[in-house]
Amino acid sequence: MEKKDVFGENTRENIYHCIKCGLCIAHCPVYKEVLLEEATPRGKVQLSRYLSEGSLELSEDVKEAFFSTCLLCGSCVANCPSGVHGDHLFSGVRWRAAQRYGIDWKKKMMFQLLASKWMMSTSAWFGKWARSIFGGPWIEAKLNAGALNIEKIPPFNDQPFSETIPDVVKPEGTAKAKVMYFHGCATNYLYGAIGQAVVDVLKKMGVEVIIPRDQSCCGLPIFMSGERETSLRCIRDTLKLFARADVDAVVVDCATCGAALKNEYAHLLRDMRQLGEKVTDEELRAAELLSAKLKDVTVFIDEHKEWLPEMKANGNKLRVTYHDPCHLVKGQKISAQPRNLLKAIPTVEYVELPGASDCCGGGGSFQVEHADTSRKITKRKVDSILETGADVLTTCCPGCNLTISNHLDPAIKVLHPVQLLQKALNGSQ
Amino acid sequence: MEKDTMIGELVRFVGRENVLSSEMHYRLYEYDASLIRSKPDCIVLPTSTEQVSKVVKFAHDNRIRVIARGAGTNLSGGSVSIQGGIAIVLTKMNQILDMDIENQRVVVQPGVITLDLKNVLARHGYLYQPDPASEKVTTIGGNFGENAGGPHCLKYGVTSNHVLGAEIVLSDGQVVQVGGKALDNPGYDLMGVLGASEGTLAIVTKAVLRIMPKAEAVKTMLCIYNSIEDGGNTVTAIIGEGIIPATLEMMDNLTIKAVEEAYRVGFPIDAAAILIIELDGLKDGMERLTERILAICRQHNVREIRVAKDQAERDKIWAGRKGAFGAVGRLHPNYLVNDGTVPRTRLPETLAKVVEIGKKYNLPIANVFHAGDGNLHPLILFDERDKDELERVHAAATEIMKVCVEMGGTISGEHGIGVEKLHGMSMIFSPKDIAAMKKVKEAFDPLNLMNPGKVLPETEKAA
Amino acid sequence: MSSANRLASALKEVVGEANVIQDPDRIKAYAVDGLTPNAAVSPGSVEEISKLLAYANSEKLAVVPRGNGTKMAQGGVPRKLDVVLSLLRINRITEHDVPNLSLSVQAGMTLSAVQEKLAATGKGSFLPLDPPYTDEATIGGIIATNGSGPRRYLYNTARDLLLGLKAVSPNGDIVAFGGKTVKNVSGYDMTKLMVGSWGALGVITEITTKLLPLPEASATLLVSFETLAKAGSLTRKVLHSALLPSAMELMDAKATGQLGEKGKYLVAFNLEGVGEAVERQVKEIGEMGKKEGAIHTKALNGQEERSFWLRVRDFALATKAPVVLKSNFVISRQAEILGNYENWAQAAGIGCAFIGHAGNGILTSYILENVVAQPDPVVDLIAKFTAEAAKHDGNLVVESCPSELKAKISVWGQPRTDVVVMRRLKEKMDPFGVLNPGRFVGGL
Repeated sequence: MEKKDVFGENTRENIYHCIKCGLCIAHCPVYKEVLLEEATPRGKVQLSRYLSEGSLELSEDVKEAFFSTCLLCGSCVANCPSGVHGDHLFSGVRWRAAQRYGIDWKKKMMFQLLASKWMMSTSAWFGKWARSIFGGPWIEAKLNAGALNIEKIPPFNDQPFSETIPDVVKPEGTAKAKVMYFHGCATNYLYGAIGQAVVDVLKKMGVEVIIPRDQSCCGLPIFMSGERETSLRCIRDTLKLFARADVDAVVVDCATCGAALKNEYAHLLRDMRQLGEKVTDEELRAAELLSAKLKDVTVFIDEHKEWLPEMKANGNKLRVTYHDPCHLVKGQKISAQPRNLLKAIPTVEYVELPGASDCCGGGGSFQVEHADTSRKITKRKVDSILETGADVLTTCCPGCNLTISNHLDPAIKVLHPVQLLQKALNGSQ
Repeated sequence: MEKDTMIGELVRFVGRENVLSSEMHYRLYEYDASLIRSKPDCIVLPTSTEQVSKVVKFAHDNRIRVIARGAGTNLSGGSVSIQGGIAIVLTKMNQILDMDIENQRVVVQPGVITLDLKNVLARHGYLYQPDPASEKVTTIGGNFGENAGGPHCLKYGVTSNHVLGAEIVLSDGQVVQVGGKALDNPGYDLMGVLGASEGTLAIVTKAVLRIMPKAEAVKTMLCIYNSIEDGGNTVTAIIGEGIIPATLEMMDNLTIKAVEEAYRVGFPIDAAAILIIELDGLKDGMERLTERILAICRQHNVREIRVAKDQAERDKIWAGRKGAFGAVGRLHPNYLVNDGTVPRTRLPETLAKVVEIGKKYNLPIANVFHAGDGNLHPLILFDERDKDELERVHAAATEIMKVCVEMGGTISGEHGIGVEKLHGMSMIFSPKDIAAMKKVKEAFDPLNLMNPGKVLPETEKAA
Repeated sequence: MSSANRLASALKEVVGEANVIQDPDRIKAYAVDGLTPNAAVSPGSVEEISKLLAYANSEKLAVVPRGNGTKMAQGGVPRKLDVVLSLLRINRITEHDVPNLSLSVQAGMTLSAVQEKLAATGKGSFLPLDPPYTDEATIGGIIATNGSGPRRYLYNTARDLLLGLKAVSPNGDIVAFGGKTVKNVSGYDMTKLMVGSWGALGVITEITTKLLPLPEASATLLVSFETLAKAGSLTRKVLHSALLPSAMELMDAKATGQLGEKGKYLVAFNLEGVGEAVERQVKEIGEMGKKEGAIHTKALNGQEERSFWLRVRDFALATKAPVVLKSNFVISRQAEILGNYENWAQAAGIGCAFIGHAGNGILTSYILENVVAQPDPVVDLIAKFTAEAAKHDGNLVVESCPSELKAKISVWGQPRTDVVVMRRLKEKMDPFGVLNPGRFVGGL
């Protein structure tokens, strides 16, 4: 492999700042379960170095190490004292590995669907229909997608969320602010209720919400699996629609989408440019503009909490705890705002989750393909949630939501904080 | 022996999934946190004492070298298999076997991560005192092999003062119990000589640790100075006054800057030095002791004093200190950390000489040190891709070692001799001293199969 | 020339005639377990010791190092005894680094002389060791036997205090290990290996140790109980609390009576440190004692206090107990084991006093009667005591007993698996068995 090929120059420099101190090892959720050096961020940085310098050949072994022992959760990046961006290196290796060895056809198909919106919509209809005809608790209880029990995956929305709301939702009276809402695939196809809650709450705050109907997948899951070219389609589509200077913010309800739009687009485009892809300056500027406008919806609401109508207490209190999604707390360093919102709801008794920022173990397709490791990590999360005695677990990531609810006692509801806000604003519990 | 045959045997002992033999794995286990790299011939991850014993006996019978390894964060090359052989990685032996609060002991497997153990003990209101900065990733076994210290060793001693017993595997595979939960078991202090033996004498498969109730009260102070000398003199004066705090740590300006950039804990980046002083014990008299310490600080021109109001503030101060090494990685890609120790009173002098050495070799040096026990960690910053720089770094490191010895100190306070400091052993030991230590090595490991090439230099070089 | 004369002349050549004792009347004092050496020598320098050992090594002689001989009764009967090597002339402080709180002192100086010097210098410091034989015990002997006393509860023992050590190897090599600094991992920790090695691996000539500043205040609290269970309950509560006594001794009625104090069981606390902390602990422990049902509490200060602890430490000397046993075991069994020992001694009709370091799992049993005439009941009792300690992860060593008894008992208690390593060490470091052959664990 040619020296230049695996990483762009900027990314490659990371390698030489790794002093092998090993402090990252303490934060890696996969290492905790696997206890091998390849499962450490340090180990993967060293492997990245060997690949980049040409002293080690890419092999099935190496590919395995980068896919099966890494959730790309970013815990290592957040805790590396030298500031090494291991995640950039690791996704670079995955890209080369995907090119050399290809990826699973089911995954490939899935990514094509995500990147192509009409196909996704159609298949969502199909999926729902197929489930209603062929599915049923008896079959589904026996079906597992890796660590996921199919029965416990939420059913597809009756319609994609984007088709259930207008392109623009105006508040009553003059709008205090104008935001765009990037809802992402999970909300669109599985968690329509979250989408409704976001729009509802923002409207009640007096904010005008623009929801482009044909918005794309953020591209990050595709990108993380090594399918960089496919992901570029999503990135470009998203930039076209959302990189606008005339809005106050672009809000997201998904930590991963947020991390993608805020942190990854600009870096990725630059990296690809250094590797020979045609990327225009205009695109880079768009990525930077989008990054500047991007806010997790809880951050936006927290920053404007004086716009929230009064929420009344009703004598009941729900015990609520909060799980920090990796891509929000580590990637974007957001942890206070979701908690602020929860604590502001009079019907909520907030209790801190021990190890709140520990990874849930989902990692997108990781939990399907590497079920064993994933299950072990998720178990730790579930155990600590049970310890709190909470009635509700909240989190700002539908991915975490999916994973945790799949393994958690169904009596404990898993919601986005914005859903609790919505209920409180509507006077219900 | 043919590699395939060896691997076949090892698979029999520990299971297929616990033997690693691909090129990728050799490259993964060729390094530790030092600059030294060398591939092992094979890697095994045993999960029981029996498995360790079998592997070691097999290696012994076939004259194959072995090297025990934990998290591999060794700073002197102690975990690197410079003569090949089987790397015995103990990370999977990570169980706490016996929490015996009544007897103030805990028995653990060597792969238990030190901070994990302390977190479990904290729930019972108990402490395991040694607190090396790497505690969140290092293992008890590794700590013991290096006799790790940490800021609290000023008052409480180092790892070997808290490891009271062990089950060990000898170089021929025999399993033997040394020490135990009870104190004063008669015989030579084998536990004593095993501590800091860097894996060259035996492999620990169980450790019996001393634990104690946590202190009633703690007071942590951050003292900010405009000169390192003032900081150093404060340290001497505090001890001279008859006060032994739990910790007395110091950091210089370059380090402060790196730490602030990495962690934003609120250290002032224009300070020449900061001192972290911690008192612990009974609350009675602590206020008065604190006042005495602060008075001494003021006598030595302290610029500002911050006393931590609560656990969160205390944690922040320590986060800055504990992440210091890694943080300097932001300034330059690589560092070489020195580990010399000098008598406390000679610290300012030594530091001044270190600064000179930095200038002489045109290398930036950031300093973190356990001021209370005279253990300094000059971090020589460089880029290992620059071969000329690397040479100057090694020369500077050797000179720093010499200076420490001249000041009445020693070349390694806690990171071990490993490979990196072998050439410094002749600065502090005579050939006869080395010969005596060699006898100990020969008694434990007559065939020199256990982590060979570490700690003791070849006798010719020692002369 | 007879071999004895050859030996004498070789010794005189090294140390000078005045420093060689062969006179039969005087040499009697240097006997070990009834064996009289051919000669006793007093070298005046480390070089002389080196020459002596080199000579002994080449002639395969057996040498027993000696300070003031306070612990000579401990250990197995020597296989051979040619020369007793006295360290008493190697007795200076070589460096007292006051601001760095470290001290280098030679083996032949007594601990009490050291403490006196330390207390009188600068702001005053001390070496936190308080082994028995307060006036006579020498540094070398204390370190070689890992001697300790009640204050080990707070200050620990020699292995936790020593920074470095100089010795002469059995083959005559002069060696130095460790240094002056608190942190030191250069090479193997030979200093620790030598501590408690019973002079079998080398002759210790000098140690470097850390010191502590003299405590600001000190007090002693005696808490008496009618029952062992209550006394044990108090010690357990203090052990698991955040309180920091420097000593916590639990003793039986015989010992208590011998010390002139009240109660069937006495718990003695030494409190040292800043004034406020000492005051608070005296009060608090007193209250805790009352809660546990103490029948009497008494505080001691100043001279009274010093005298009390002197009598505790030197109990063996004062009572002239012919047999002294030291048991070690896990901490929580202190009271239980003392109770069992008491009962068994009583049942055997053997008068025995018990004093233990209640926070360390160490118990010393003092058999107060002459046993040579009827050794068997004592032999049985010792075996019983040993088995009990071993049951609780420990062992028993005989600190002193008449030589006649040594053939019938295991003076080093039950053997353990690590003796295989000790044997290898001894064989490597002292292949000709020059130093103390046969006196240590495993007959090494």
